[in-house]
Amino acid sequence: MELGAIFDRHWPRVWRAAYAVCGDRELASDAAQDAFVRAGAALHRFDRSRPIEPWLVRIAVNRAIDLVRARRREVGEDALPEPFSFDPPLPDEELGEALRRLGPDRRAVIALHYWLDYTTPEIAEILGVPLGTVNSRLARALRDLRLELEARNV
Amino acid sequence: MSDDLERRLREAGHRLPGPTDLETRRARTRLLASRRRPRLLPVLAAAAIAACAFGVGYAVASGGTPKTKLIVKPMPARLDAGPGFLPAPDWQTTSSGNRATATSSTGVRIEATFVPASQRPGLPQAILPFRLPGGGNVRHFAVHIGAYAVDVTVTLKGRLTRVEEAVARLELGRLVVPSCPAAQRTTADGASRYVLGWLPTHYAGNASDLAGAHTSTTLGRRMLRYREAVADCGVRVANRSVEVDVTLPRVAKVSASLSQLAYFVARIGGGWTVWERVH
Repeated sequence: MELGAIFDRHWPRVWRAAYAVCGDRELASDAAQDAFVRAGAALHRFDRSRPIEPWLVRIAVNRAIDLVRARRREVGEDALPEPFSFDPPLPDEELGEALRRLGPDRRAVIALHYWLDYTTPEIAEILGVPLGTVNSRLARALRDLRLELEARNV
Repeated sequence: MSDDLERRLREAGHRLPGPTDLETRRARTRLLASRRRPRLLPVLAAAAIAACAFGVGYAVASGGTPKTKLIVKPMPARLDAGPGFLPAPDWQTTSSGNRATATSSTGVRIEATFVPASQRPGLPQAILPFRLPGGGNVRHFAVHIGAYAVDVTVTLKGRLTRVEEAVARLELGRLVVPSCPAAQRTTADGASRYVLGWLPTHYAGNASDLAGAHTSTTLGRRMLRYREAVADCGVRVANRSVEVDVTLPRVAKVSASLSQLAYFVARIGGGWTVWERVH
């Protein structure tokens, strides 16, 4: 398949995966573009019998996590909360705020599982981590979200 | 609670936005452009092309038609352009993108980072020159000034003395942050030319990255980041500003994000000024 056709087919979902992690349109576009550029450079080495989307999402999500961390380093203040917000904001503001307090790693697992409907083994492949790590990140993310929401009496 | 949480998470996912048409078009164009590279040309031919590319890209961007004789003269850095430290004896100053540092021979270090003001709302407004806050060996403050949210950390090494504090205070006074410009009505014509001339003295990476740089410009309300411009310097300045998006094809081979630069520029009394490095 031509790169243009791959882009047309997978761009919205890859972009959403990046956006779900970084919560910033500009960073999401950067991360998703990087994914396609890198994929384009390595397309000839890709095993065409395998689905391409998890590969693209993997690059985009990891790039998005890097960009979030880089932006945080740019601000240069460890005590600052994650520079993460949805644009436009989530209608469920309390949930948006609770998500903002998760680190990008845990947010990525939540986003991939609940928003992009990947299974945990697929997430493990996308993030390049063991399945146990995905399960524990997911459990901890849910625990943290629950505690945050309970603290707000929501 | 858990079921409720999972339901809320799934509902939030349904409302996740997608890329806009503009974002999609731009990404597609850049992706395909990055693929149109000659693969079999001899190295010498590629080098020759690279040598010419900056001028041609400049010509295309500024006039739409390549011109045959074109000389790009790097412009000296304007003192009010910033953000960064003015040069001073006994201080080593660096500026890389949105970070500037000044280090004295006695070990005082001042580090400042700059992000668009809209990215860190709620900070107090400040005016230049900055004042050194009280405290111990590490002093920190974050303020809004001009279009930027500025985060400054001053580290005073060794024994804290009045002399050292005075030295740091003086250097802090040399930290320049551009103010919101007194923008005049303008068209986008000439903005690309200005930015391409400005870049060689202000780009944080290697000068060779700029070879073949090409630009696109949008004016006022048509700017992709119009809302950001409004948030940072107000509607009037935003309406009179030009967003210049620069693409660095050589960097695009490594990173799409790093290959894209974006600046807000405005026409002022003495010509053009870059009032914000947006990306």
